Amino acid sequence: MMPFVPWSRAGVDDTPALLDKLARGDAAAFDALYRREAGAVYRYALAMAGDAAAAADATHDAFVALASRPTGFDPSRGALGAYLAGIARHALLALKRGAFDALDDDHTEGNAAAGTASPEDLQVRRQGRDALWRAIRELPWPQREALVLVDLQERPYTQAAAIAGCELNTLRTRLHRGRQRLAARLGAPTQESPR
Amino acid sequence: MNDLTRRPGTMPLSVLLRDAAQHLRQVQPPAALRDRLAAHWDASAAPRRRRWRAPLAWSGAAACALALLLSLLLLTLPATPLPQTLAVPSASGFVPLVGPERWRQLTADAATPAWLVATELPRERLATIGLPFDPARAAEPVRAELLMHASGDVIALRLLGE
Repeated sequence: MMPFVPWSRAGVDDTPALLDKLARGDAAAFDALYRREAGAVYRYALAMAGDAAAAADATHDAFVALASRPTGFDPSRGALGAYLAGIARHALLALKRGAFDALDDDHTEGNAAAGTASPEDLQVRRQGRDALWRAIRELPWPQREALVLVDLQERPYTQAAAIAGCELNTLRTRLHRGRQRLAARLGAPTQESPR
Repeated sequence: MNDLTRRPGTMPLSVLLRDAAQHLRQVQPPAALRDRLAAHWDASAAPRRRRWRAPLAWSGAAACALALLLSLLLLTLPATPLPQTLAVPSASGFVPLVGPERWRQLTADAATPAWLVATELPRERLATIGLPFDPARAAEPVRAELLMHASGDVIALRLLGE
């Protein structure tokens, strides 16, 4: 089994060293990379697919690919997280799941309900969130992807474009159209941009 | 009433997206996913080890076979001393183990490779190639290098550390 490895020191990019160890079959290195990158990859896949099982499968595929061929990642082409998200993206597209089910409550509730808001406020907030996710899932894949990567995952535009496999301007256009369509569906004003 | 508690249709999109982003950040991969990957890692580790083990095993077998072959060759060295003229080392320190005619034949073709093989041989074997040895140390092995022709013949020997 993979042993426990503490978090690496902040500010020190030890990714190349971990990949080097991974290439030599070091399970601890794989575990460290998983704990560092898996969250973002899984959240991207979950937001895109809307299905926890599909998101887990896509994340699984991404890390299996990394473990099988660590040299497949080229640091000069972007961050490791973007590379893994790209693999998960391919896995999701391969699944060709048309259904974009609502996010599982098991994964999206929990701490989100914490705070001082009243049950009534939480209910309203929940309604707003559900309506948003319904509208997101109705967006075409490219617009949904741009919105998830930039607005929901708050990734840099360049990284989002790399994952989506498009030019920066194309990503901006998709994002703009996605926001417009989303606002129209929700009947929400768009006088301000999230970022 | 803050933005998030207004009716959904009246909330600005940016507020909704910020809330959804915050919500999404709290999502973590299921523990079962890590277990699946750990199982996959463990399952793939065995073939990975085998993949490395196979060449090593073959290399080891080849080395053992070569050592066995050399031992047999050393044991079959002529029991009678070779002519004294053969026991004269060359400038490189090699003592020919074959007659002059055979030596000429073997070395005439410069394109045919020969290998230098490090080994140890019983000290008493020095006598068989016309070299002096101390009988009191007959049991001690002596380090040597053998010049092995592509034909399989051991054509020369050089003592090391003597």
